Order: sequence, then C-alpha cells, then structure tokens
Amino acid sequence: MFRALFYPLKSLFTRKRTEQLTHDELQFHIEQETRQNIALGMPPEQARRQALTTFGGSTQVHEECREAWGTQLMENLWRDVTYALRTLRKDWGYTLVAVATLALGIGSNTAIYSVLRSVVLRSLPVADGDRVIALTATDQSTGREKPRFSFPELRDYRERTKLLDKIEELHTMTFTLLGRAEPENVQTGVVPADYFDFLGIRPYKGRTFASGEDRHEASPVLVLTHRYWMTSFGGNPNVVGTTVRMNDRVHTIVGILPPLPEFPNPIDLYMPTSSCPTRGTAAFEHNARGALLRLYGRMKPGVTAAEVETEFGTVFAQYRAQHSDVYPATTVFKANVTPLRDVLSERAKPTLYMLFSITALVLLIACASVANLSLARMLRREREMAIRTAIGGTRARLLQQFIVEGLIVSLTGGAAGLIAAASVLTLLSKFVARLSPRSVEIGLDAPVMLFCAAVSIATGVLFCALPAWRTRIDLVSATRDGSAGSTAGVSRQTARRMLVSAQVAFSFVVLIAAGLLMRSFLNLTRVSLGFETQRVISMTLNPNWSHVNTTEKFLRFYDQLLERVRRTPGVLSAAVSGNVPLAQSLQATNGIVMEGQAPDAGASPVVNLAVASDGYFDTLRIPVLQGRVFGVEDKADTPQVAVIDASMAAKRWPGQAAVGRRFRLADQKPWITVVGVVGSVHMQGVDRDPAEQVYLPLAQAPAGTDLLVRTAGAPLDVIRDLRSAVYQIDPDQAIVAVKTMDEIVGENLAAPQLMAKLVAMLAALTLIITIAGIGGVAAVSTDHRKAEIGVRLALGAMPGRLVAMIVRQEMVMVAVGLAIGLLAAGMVAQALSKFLFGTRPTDVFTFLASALLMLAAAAGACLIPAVRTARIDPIKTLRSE
Amino acid sequence: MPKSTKADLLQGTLDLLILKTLSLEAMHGWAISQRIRQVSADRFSVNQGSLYPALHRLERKGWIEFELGPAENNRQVKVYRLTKAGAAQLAAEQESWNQFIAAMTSILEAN
Repeated sequence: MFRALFYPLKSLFTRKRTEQLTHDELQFHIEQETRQNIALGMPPEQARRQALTTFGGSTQVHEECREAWGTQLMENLWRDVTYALRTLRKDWGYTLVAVATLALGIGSNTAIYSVLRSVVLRSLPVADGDRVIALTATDQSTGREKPRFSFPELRDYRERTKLLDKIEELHTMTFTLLGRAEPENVQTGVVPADYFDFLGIRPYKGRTFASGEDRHEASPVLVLTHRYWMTSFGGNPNVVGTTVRMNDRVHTIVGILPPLPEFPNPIDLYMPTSSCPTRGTAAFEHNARGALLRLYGRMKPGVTAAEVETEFGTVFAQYRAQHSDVYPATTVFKANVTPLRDVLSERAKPTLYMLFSITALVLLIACASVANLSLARMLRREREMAIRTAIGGTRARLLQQFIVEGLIVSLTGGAAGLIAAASVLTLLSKFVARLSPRSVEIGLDAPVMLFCAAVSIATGVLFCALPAWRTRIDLVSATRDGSAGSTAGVSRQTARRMLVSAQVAFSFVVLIAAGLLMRSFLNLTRVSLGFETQRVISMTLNPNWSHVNTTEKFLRFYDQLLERVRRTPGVLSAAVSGNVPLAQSLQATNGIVMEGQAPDAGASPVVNLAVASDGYFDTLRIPVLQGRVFGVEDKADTPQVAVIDASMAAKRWPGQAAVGRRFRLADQKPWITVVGVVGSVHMQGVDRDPAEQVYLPLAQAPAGTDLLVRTAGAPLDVIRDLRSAVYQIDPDQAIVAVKTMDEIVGENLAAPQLMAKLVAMLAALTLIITIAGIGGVAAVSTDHRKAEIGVRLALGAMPGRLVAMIVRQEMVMVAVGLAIGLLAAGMVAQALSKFLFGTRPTDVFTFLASALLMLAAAAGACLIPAVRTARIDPIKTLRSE
Repeated sequence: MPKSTKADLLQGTLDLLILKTLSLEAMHGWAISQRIRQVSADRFSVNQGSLYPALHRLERKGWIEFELGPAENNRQVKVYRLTKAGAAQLAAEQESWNQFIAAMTSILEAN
C-alpha cells in the first residue's frame, strides 16, 4: 500500500532523471544490438533496422516502462490540469461567467446554510444541550401563556420530579450601574449559584459563581456576558476583580462568560439570587403569588419532552388543587415542555428555511446556466474533440479532461462563493439577531466548508463536465464543419432549450417570491399606525429604585421631569408612558370584568394595558374620538378612570356610547370608568392589528418608564437639553434607548425590509443569469439558420417580419418555462403566505408583473441576435455555404 | 516480501529469468538480454523490448536495484543487482516453480 502510493509520488519528483536514465538505457541497448548485427556482417543500415525491429519500437517500450512505474495517472492528471488552465484562460469569457454564476449560487447557499446550521440545526453550546427544556403553561380558558412561576411552585416540582435531573430558575431585572461616565441601565439575569454548572458553561475569564454565593450572607458578585464586556468595558481583562456600584450595593465582578445566546432577552450581566432585592428575600420564597421565575430543566437520558409534559402537568395540577386561593378551581392549565433549542430558534426557523429554499433555487438556476454554457462551449470545441479522438484519445481520457476542467471552474466558483458568504455573514447575523439570540453563534465552521466543497464538486462534475460529455462526437461531420449542421449540434441545442426553460421556471418562482415580499413590505410602510411618528423622541428612564422607593417619590420624579422637559426650548409637548408604541417592550395584558355582565358569561375579555400621563395623546397625536383624555385632575385619590381605543369600544359596547361605562381588572378591584375613546394604535407591531387597548392614568397606575417628547424642529437637537434636564433631577438616573419614533418604526420594518431586499437581489441576479442563457441559446440557433435566413432574404422576406418570426420561435422555450414556473410559483407562494402582510399569496398584480418582466426581458434577449441575423448580407451567406 | 506466485506463474516467467540471471552477478539491461538469449539457447523468443518494463516493474517492487555503472563505448547506464528481498523472492519462485513442474508432471504421467 505504501509503495503503491509512494513510488508514483516519488517518481513524479524524480521524473526528469528517471526519463533520462530510461532513455539512455534503451538507446544503449539498440546501439549494442546494432553493433552486434554489424559484427555479424550486416551493413550498418540494415543492422540498425534489424535492431529496432527486434526491440519493438523504443517509444512504446519507454511508455510501457512509465506504466510500470504507475505514474501514468498522475502525469495525465497534471497534464490535464495545465491543459485545462490553458484552455480556460483562452476561453476567459466562459470561465468568468461560469465562475461568477457558481460563486453566486454556491455563495448564497453557503451563507444561508451556515446561518441555518448555527441557529437551528446545531446543538446548543451547553452541556447536553438537546436535553435542556423550558417549562411553561397555557391558561386553557384565555389561551394566555404563563411563562413565569412562583418559588413554591418551583420547589414543589423540584421535589417531585422523577424525569428531570435538575430544574433551574432565571428571571431578569433592570438595575442601574453607577460609577461609570454615565449611569447605565443593565439587564440582569438573576440565577442560582450552580446555574452555569448546570449549563456546563466555563468562564471566558475569571470564574462563574461559587456554590454558596446565592446564600443571603454572601457578598455580592457579578458575572458579565461577553457581549456586554466587549461593548461597555472594551474587552478589558482587568475588570475581573474590580467592583461596581449597582443601585445601593457594591458588587465584585468575578468573571466573564464566553459568547453565548442570551435568553429570554438580552442580558448584560448575571447576579446570584441572593443579590436580587425581590428574589433575595425570605418572604419571596413563601409567596405563592410571586410568579417571577422562568423554569429550565434537564431531562434524564432517554426521557422525552412528552413524558415530562405529562409529569409536569400532573404535578402542577395537584399543586393548584392545594392552592385554590391562588388558582380558582375553574382554571385549567396545560403544561408545555419545549426543548430550549426550539425556544431560541422558533422565530428564526421559518424565515431561514424560506431563505434556504430560495438560495437552493438560485443554485439550481446557476447549475442549469453553467450546464448551458458548457454545452455551448462544447459546440465550439467539437473540432478539437474530434481531432483528439482521431489521434487516439480514449473516451475515458476525454472524460477525465472534462472533469478536471469542470472541477477547476466549480472549485474556483466555490472558493469565491465562500469568500462572498464570509463577507455577508456579519450583515446576516445582524438580521438574524432580531429573530434569534443564537445569532451570536453564526460562523463558518468545518462542516459548512465541507458543505461548500461538496456542493462545488457535485456541480463541477454534474453541470460542467457531464453535459459536454453526454453527447457523442460525430467525427466526420465535426471535422468537416465545426459550426453548423451536425446532428449532435441539433440535439445539444434541444438540451440547451430545455435547460433554459428550467432556468425560466426557477427564476420565475424567485421573481414571484421577491415580488410578493416587496409588495408586502410596501404594504407595511403604508400602514396607518394611528399616531404621528415624525419629530417624536422616546427614551427609557427606569427610576433608580434605591432613591425612588415609594409611589409618592415615583410620581414626584416624573412630575418634576415633565415640568422641566416641557420648559425646554424646542419641546412642543411631553408625556410619560409605560408603552412606547412598536418598541417591542412586553405588552401587559389583563382580563377585565365588565359591569353588568355575569361572571360566567364565557371567557373574560383580555385587553392590553398601557399607562399614560397627561399629554400622552397630544404628544403622539392620537385622535380623541369621544369624551376626554387624562389631565392633572386625575390623581391617585380621585375616582379611577380609563381611556379606551376605538376597537375596544366597538367590540365591547357596539352601537352605544362607551363613555361612562365601567369595568374592573379583577373581581375584587375597584370599578374604572371610561372617560374617553381614542383612535386605535398599532402597539405591538406594524404587522399586528391593534388589539383592544385600555389606557390608565400614570397617577392611578404608577408604572411608567418611558419619556415621549414631541419637538418643534429636528428632534436630535434637543436631546442634550433633555439629558441635562434628567440629570438635574437625579444625577444617578440612567437614560437608555434614546430613539426617534421614526427609528423605532424603522427597526420594526427592518427584518421584512432586509428579507425583501435579499430576495429581490437574488431575483435580479437570477434574472440576469437566465436572460443571458436565453440570449446565448437564441444566438446559436439563429447562427445555425443563417443560410435559411439568407435564402428567405434573397427571396424577398421583410427583415422586420423575419425578426418577429425568430423571436416568436425562440420565445417558445421561455413560454414553456413560464408555464412550469407558474405552477411551481403557485405552490411556493402558499408556503410564503406567513411572511406576507396585506398581500395574498396569489396576488394577481405580482404574478402578472413578474410574468411581463420575464417576457419582456426574454424578448429583448432574443431580439439582439434576431436583428443581427436579419441584417446579414444574403449573398455573402449563400456564398459561404 | 516473497508472496505466492501460483496465479501469475507463467506470466512471471520473464521475471524469474531476470532474477535468476541477476543472482549470479550485477549487469546492465543489454547484458541481461544477451545472457537470457545464451542460456536459453534461443529456445524462448523473448521480445527484447519487454525486458525493460519488466526490469522497471521489479525495481518498483524492490526486488532489484540499480547503480550507474560504466558500459561499453564510455557510456553510463543502469546496472541492476538483486536485493535481499529479490533473493528471497527468487527462492520462493524457484520453489513454487518446482512444485508446479512436479504437479504438472504427475498429472501428465498418470497412466
């Protein structure tokens, strides 16, 4: 085995010397033989001839010697590579187009595949990642999800589970980090000390929490996430061991985590449960109503999620039966057990599979296009192939030559594609970051490169080499006439037409997908949001609870703030709210009890709750339809009032005046009187219809966090003044997420916009490839018909009608492709429907526009060779025949 | 490495002759051809050309090796000699050749 490999290799390097020695040896033999023959009395001429005859041809013998060394295959390969490089350079037009086309097809596939792999397919980067699950429950009567549980619920299940190794808790809170240039809000994950051991996460720097650090007497420690460390601390390794003041306590930073997906929302740093002012109290551990904790568990090996679901459902039902004060007997919950991996990739999955399908189509188009090019090239090389066959090139040798050429083209294309994929990956991760926290894991790893190489090799063999090889070489006609008339040429032209039809069909599908997504995006931009976005600034101000620790102080803080802000030059109006529309903060939803409605009259309606100070509706320019909005007269001790939106008024009190009606948030709570009705607003997203909305005045529902300011001029001009207004009231107040309302709307539309742009770009590129294919085929077939057209012209045919005839005949392949594409697009569009907003998957306009675009472009592509052919001089053509 | 040569015994006859010739002394290609011609007294019509691929094959297998040596007319050519592996191979092939002859003889002489 070793020899078999070693000798051919070694002899490749020592080839020159071996060749020389063999040559010398053979010549010496013939000389000696000749000499001997002369000695036997032959004349020199005859002596030499006799010697050569008995020897049997020195060239052949030399060749047999080479074969004895087994170097033939390698030498041929080397010769093929150099020959292929030479011909490819000579035929640089083909090479360039084929490489670029394959780079596009392979590159886009590799890019999307690497994202899909990192975000959806690969196991979580935690210990036994496939066994880590999230525990939630669904309220069957309202359909609302219950993502958080109380500590007694956690303790109960922890004690009784037989299927889970471990159950961990996590909740997130916002704290204010002090002692840096400006007060900073930090999203903090609150976890038990063994949380990182549970996930099998090793620290990037320093350490994670030691056991016992979640006990009440332990000194406060923090672990930073890699992202927060990089963005806020510039990746400075010396921060480990330093202290920071967070709210009222000094914490020591003990470690930094490696880059990891952050869930359930972005997390800047982690603290042990004992440091959390809510979670750290002994009272919390006995509070059955404090549903704060998200639960994650690890299944024992061999246990399925469905089994855990049954177990958790049973245990939780028994718990509820024992706690009827918290859970009325009528409530029914369904337990949900979801692999953490699915929780994290849930939103990204459909989008990524959709994009992957589109890029697969792009690859198919690229392959068809390259096969087409290879066939056209074969047509030009017929004479060369015929000659090579005639001088003894075997079919196997020719095939090897084609495969080598194909592989050079496709591997170059693949390498270019890989570079292209690597360069768009950052952009793609930003896009995917909106859909999945696993976007931090996106990267090109070995399997992705392998995928890229495999795709390259497959396309090289299947689409560069085989098409050229498949058709037999007709020796006689090929050498007689290299360009026209051979039967092989005709069948190859048919194959090319079929390939073009396939390209048209696939491109049409991509075109339709792009058209639908673009139209859907345009519809999103045209949605009337229910408020005016221009010249509004929003900023988040989470009051520092160590100073602002009573409702009174809280209200005074905002009163002072609004007063100062409203006095700032350039400010038209200002308000405080808990809900900036579209800012994707969690929407508070609540069931309500309507006055005069029996409690058992079906499920209680669920509405969105929002907090609004006076000036809120004015600042956002939300129209007031009936009654009044909040004013300074709505105080904590005045009767409770609410403003509702038009959709709620229409649904709950249809055809009646809503103003003056009463409802309450739970059976025992005070009645709330509706004092006004305002226009409906898209709160949860541009693509989400307004839900029934209840606004409560800030004084009666003190939970605001966001400042909204409408300015007279450019909003950015007043930001500095707004900041100093805030710091004058409380220098420890963190200001985060300063954005204009237009920016927030833009962020809302960024994902669909980028998706539409990506697909549109791919569609444009595939259209160009396809049009080039159509033009190429049309050019060759009109070329073949030069003689016929010459005769027609000579007989007096009108050039204009000839052009029309040629275009019509060439358009048949386009029409066939369109027909197939229409059927395919119909099916694909259905799969797209969940990405579409205000656009039906069978949108007639998109289908018609795409078909017209394709037809017009194709007709243009056929027109050029047709016009050129119709302009020929008939005499010249006839003479050349 | 000596290996069973039963299957390609006849095909390997030339190899056996070469190995046997070189076991006496080192010599170059032409001399080998002369020697085989002499000892076989022209009973074999060995195609002279096929000698060299055979030599290269044996060299590749490691049974013979070469050195550049002086030859007639001031020429430097490859002078082949048997290696240890080649000697072992020769012994093995001689053995199996004898077995083959014996077997053939016993078959042909059985009544």
